[in-house]
Amino acid sequence: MGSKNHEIGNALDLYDAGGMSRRSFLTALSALGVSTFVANVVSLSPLGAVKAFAAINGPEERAWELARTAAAKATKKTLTLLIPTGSIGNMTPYADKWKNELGITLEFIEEPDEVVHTKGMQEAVAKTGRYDVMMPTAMSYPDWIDSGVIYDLTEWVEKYDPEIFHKEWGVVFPASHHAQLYNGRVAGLLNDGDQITLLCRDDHLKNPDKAKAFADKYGYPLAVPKTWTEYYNLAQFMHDPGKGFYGSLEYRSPYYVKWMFMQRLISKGRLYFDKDMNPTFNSDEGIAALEDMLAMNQYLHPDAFSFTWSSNYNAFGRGEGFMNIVWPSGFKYSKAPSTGPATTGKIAATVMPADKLKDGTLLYAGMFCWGYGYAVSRYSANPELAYAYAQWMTSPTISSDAIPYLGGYSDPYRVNHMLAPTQRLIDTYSPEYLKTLYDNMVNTVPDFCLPGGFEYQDALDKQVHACMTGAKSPKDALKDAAHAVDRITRRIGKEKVQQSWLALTRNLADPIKKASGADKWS
Amino acid sequence: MMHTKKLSFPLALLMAAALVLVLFPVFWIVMTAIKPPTDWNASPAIWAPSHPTLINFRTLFDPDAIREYGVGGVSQSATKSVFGSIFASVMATALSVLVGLFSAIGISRYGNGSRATPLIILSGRMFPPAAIAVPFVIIFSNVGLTDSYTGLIAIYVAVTLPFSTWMLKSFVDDVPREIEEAAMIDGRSRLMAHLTVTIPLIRGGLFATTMFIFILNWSEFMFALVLSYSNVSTIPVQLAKYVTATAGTLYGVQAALAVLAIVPLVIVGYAIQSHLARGMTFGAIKQ
Amino acid sequence: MLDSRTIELTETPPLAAAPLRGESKKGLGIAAMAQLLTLPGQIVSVLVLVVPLLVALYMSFTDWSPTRGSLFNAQFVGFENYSELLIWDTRFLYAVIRTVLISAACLSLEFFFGLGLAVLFLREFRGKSILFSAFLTPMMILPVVVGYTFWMLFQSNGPINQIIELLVGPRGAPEWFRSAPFAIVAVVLTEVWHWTPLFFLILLSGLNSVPENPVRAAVILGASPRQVFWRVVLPMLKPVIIVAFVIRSMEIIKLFDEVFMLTRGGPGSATETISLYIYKLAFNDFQLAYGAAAAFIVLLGSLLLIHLLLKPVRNQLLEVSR
Repeated sequence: MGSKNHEIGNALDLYDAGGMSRRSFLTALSALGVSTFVANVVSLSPLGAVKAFAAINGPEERAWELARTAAAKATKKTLTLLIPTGSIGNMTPYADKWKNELGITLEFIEEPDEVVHTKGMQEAVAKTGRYDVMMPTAMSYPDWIDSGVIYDLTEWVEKYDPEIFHKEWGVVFPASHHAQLYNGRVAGLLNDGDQITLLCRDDHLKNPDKAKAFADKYGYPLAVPKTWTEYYNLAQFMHDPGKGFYGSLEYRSPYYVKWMFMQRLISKGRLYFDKDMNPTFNSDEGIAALEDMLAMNQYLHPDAFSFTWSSNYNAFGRGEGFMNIVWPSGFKYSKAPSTGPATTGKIAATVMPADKLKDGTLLYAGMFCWGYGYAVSRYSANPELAYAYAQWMTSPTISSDAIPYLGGYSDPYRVNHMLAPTQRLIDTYSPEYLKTLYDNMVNTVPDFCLPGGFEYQDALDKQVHACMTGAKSPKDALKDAAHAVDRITRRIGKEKVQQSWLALTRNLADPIKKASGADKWS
Repeated sequence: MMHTKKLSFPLALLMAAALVLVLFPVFWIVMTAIKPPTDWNASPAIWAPSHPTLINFRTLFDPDAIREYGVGGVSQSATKSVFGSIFASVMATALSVLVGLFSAIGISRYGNGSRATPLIILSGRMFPPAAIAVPFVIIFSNVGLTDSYTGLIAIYVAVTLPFSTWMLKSFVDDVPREIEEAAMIDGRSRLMAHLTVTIPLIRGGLFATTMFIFILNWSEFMFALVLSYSNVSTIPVQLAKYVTATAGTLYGVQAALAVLAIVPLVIVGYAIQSHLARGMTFGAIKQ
Repeated sequence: MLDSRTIELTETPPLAAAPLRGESKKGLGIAAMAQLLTLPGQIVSVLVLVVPLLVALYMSFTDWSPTRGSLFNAQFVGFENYSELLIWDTRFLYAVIRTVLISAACLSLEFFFGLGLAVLFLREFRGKSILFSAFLTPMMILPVVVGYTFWMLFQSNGPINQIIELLVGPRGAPEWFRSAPFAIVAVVLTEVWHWTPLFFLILLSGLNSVPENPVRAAVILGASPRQVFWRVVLPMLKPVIIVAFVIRSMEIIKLFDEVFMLTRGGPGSATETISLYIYKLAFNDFQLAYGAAAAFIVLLGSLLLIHLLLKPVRNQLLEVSR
């Protein structure tokens, strides 16, 4: 950037003074090596081109500067990262740059995704200093911060400003808060926008015979579902087991099935606890959600009870289902011909279905399931270098470059990823999908990102799974889950969990807060 | 008198059926290990591949080898875990047998020492490993043994000590005292008598015990799972990683690692089968 | 009685108390020798077993988890963990009951099949030694591999279901991991396959060392082969059978590897054994103090169980070994 700065500066000044058309400005910047999206954003920003350029490159530049100084001081010339398997593809493309320009070798230690939390907690006990950067889901932050295995990043964030709350290129609100903060302090930098969306096979939707038959049967036009009832109707209509084509590829497997429940629950305007940490998932809405899921069981893929994200993506990519509830990486996989041979070019995406509230309005809400981010190990020999890596990789500019790589599952998470995407992002996803993702993410609700989060999710997951396999009635399952959850809250300490829960629910979309009553909690 | 009856036809049929049941799972895993990726996810599952291949075994050591079949590369090579299993099992076995041998001679010829020792040693086998693993992690982290084979080997020695001690004791018991006494009368000290007379006489039992302890160490999963970081890895841990890794169900590669794991054990098991009863029952039952 | 060479479960072995005639004066004396020989074993046991056990015991009386700071500053809570587990924690109690029931089922089946095979092997036929080796194979396979193999076999499109569908027709095969009873059956079948050879081995040794005279006497007195077997042979096998049960009980209570690979404790918690629950407490929830208390409850229970199982034969065994 250095040597071209002068010329870029000239172009910016000229544009700001009105001496250049937007088109020539974009061409000029492109010729100077500035990426299209940066140029785009800059040319449209109300801050003015000069200020906008400094701002948007800021996070990356500041991080790089910090990395440079930290690398020079470092005695250990490797940066060790604990990452979940399947994510490495977003990070390896930059290994050479770090090696050549900073002299730092990136070393990746991959563990299965469910083991990352365990390894982190073990590190809290063992304190080996083996890891520098650790990549957990947001659900790990409370326990990891409390056990002292990762740093509170707030001061670094204030000093080096990754611009995670910026209106134009910050992380989408409210994910910016619940996926990065613990009790208001920054615990990690989000690098993976795990907002689930709904995919439909467009070719079937556009089929005129099907359209007629559907309209005749259900009384409204064939289209992507807006509500959960429409979702059910579509699954029922499209389900064709004889041809190996199933209504929906929704999950019923352990660990995943609870999200299907939680998603339906929040669509009905219920959260998991009230302001006093009493469980509210065992309400009428919860029972109705489980009953809806049981009704769906007959229209699901036969492997639904054993799906992991990758077998689910593969099944959808082979064309075995009409609808799928996926993370954005699922869209990426079904769009690419290599991983989605039967679905490439045939996907219509929509936000998660809504449900009708008591007052007749539709409530749109979406689950944020997982959401990996970079945290800095407290026992790292190079914490500043580790933080620099985190900020650099998640900066608006670098992240736009990193996300599209197919060998990793990092998903868009900053506003600019979705509303001002680079060409590669457009090619990998599509402008429509990115807009849909944004529309869903502003209505996102977090997982159990609380102290003891993994215990909570396990208690609920086991009961939901037992219900889905027919071992328990919805009422009993939720009663037992509530009982277990109460015990967990009691043993961890009600005040502690409550504080974190209230901090989480303070930052939700307004309609969700209103429907659940959370707007009155604090 | 029972021994002279012959096997009637219906009974022979029964035994044949039992044999099939016993060997079928082994057959299955071996078949899966030589299936090409196209056969992995077939529905219904394929019993024997029409084009068997060794690609799965190659992939264990060269993760990208499987790409020639169009399957995404396996994320990790199994080389480290194979070396890890060999190193940990061999070292732990040697130490366990050595310590057990001395204890065996001591207990057989000189009494227990303390009445509590057997109880303590047996408790080591009865305590749920998952709960004792974390105290190990804490202790190891304070003495700098985390993520090192030393720690794992120490644990393996401790949990196999009951077997090595009692199994060897039963072999030592089989050697009549008179032979040792003769050596001592001859002028040798007690220690020399044990070293030069007793031990050579239990050669066969020593071999059997060593192999038996090796089987136990090679198969151990829980402690290795908990204590493995980046430096330490054994075959069972790697197998679990392949199975839980969400990057697709790589049946063939998993099965290849499984086959690799069981081959040494089956060979060793057959070699010592006449002493297996003694081993499994802490020396209580001889064949 | 059974030949004393077949079975010994000695606690206090014969002792060469007095120095031997003509024993060399050089070298170590008896007491020192005893100490020297058993010392390494004791050191290992104390360092690697006793110390961690004591740490775990201490932990079980605190409310420690890594989120509460250092273990050494942990708050002492007395028997709170223990009472919580025994009174409130239904998941723990279910895990205990489940483990006991699964163990009982497995042990009974292993005994039944093992005895059957052993009786078959009392007869003469060709290829006996090769078949003997073949039948021992399952026992030698790593538990994780056994679990993994049967996981594959029990898949919905796997060979077991293919065979069932041949017999019962399409759509007749169960989804083994989707329903609690079938998952439990799968676990039991896996365990039984894995360890029946041990019962076979032990019972065959026992049967082969049954002394001829009582059997011959019974035959002469007019007993039928069936009566001879059930009323003469089997009772003489009692010590052997008990040893087999004790040995297997000790190991099956810790059942982890196979279930971990087969079902992870699912569906729901239907196959969650004690070890799996403690593993979850320790390595998913990191409720380490609580998990330690659970482990000690299990340890005490196991010790009690073994003691009770050995009681009927303890005197018999001690008498035999004299």
